[in-house]
Amino acid sequence: MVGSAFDIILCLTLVWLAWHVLTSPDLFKAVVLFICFGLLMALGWVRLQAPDVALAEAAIGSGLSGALFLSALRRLASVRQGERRLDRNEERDDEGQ
Amino acid sequence: MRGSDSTGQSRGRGLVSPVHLVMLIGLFTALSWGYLAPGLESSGLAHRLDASLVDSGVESRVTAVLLNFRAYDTLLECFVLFLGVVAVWSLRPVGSDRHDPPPGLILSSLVRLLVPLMVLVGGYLLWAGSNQAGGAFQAGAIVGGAGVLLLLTSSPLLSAFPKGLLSWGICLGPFFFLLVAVIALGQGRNFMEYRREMAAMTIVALEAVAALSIGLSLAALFGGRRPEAHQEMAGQDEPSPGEGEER
Repeated sequence: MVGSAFDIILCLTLVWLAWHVLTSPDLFKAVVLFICFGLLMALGWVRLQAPDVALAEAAIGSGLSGALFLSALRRLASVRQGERRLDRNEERDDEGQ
Repeated sequence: MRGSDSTGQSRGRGLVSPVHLVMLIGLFTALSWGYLAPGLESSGLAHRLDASLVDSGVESRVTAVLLNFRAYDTLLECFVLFLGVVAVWSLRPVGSDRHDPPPGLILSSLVRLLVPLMVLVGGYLLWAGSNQAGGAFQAGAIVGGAGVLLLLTSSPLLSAFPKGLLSWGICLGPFFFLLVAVIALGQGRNFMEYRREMAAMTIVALEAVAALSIGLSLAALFGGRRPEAHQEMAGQDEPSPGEGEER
């Protein structure tokens, strides 16, 4: 009984989170919600008795993808503000190799 | 991805259109019907898997499927990750672009404490993979997470990691996998078919090498560009000493 109540709440929260990830106008907020979504999804996999998938989801789906999204977001922001700097050293090294 | 507020909002409004809602409800109804309809449940492949688990060399069903019966899929996954790193490295010049201020004392001490622990947990997951939940990808992800922490804090540990080994470490997993597969082929067995008495050892070795490569690849993806081979703390990962421990 408690189990199925938990499952229903989990499912509703997942759908709610997924909706807000897709519709959030603020990309940073969307990324944070995506990380939360991944963690709850991992919980869902545990409820489905798939601990392997849960581990992978928590570590890759939530943790590393989240970190990658955040770093992509930062690069996007610096590109948008025209702050991207290409050092001359970098260019020279690039040609050197 | 241009992502200014206005595009985000219009994106949001587009999603709420009644057509989409009807489609969603239709999909949900179809799925629930499929799930609840009588006579549709199947026993799946569990019986066949359990029957042949003895041959696989490991006790965990998931690991048996991933690294023995369907090892071909895992091989391809490793190559996808490898190609991902190659693509990311091709897009930007060699070098480093971490201009963050140096981390404070607390953060750097925490990272120093956490990183060995994470490598240890990764090793445990790798080892546990043979009879319970865990395995190469999970272990690799934890090791990759340790690498990301190091990158984020521009830790001095990074400069201790020989940059030249990074590319080798990333290539090692997929190509070792391929080598094992081709050797099996050369000895007259099927592609990726292990010799039965060697299966357990082969799987553990494959997993250890794959986990190392996956960890390095994930950290390299986060780093975003190929570090310079010498001098300067460009930045990649350092988990190889820990990987050595667990073998």
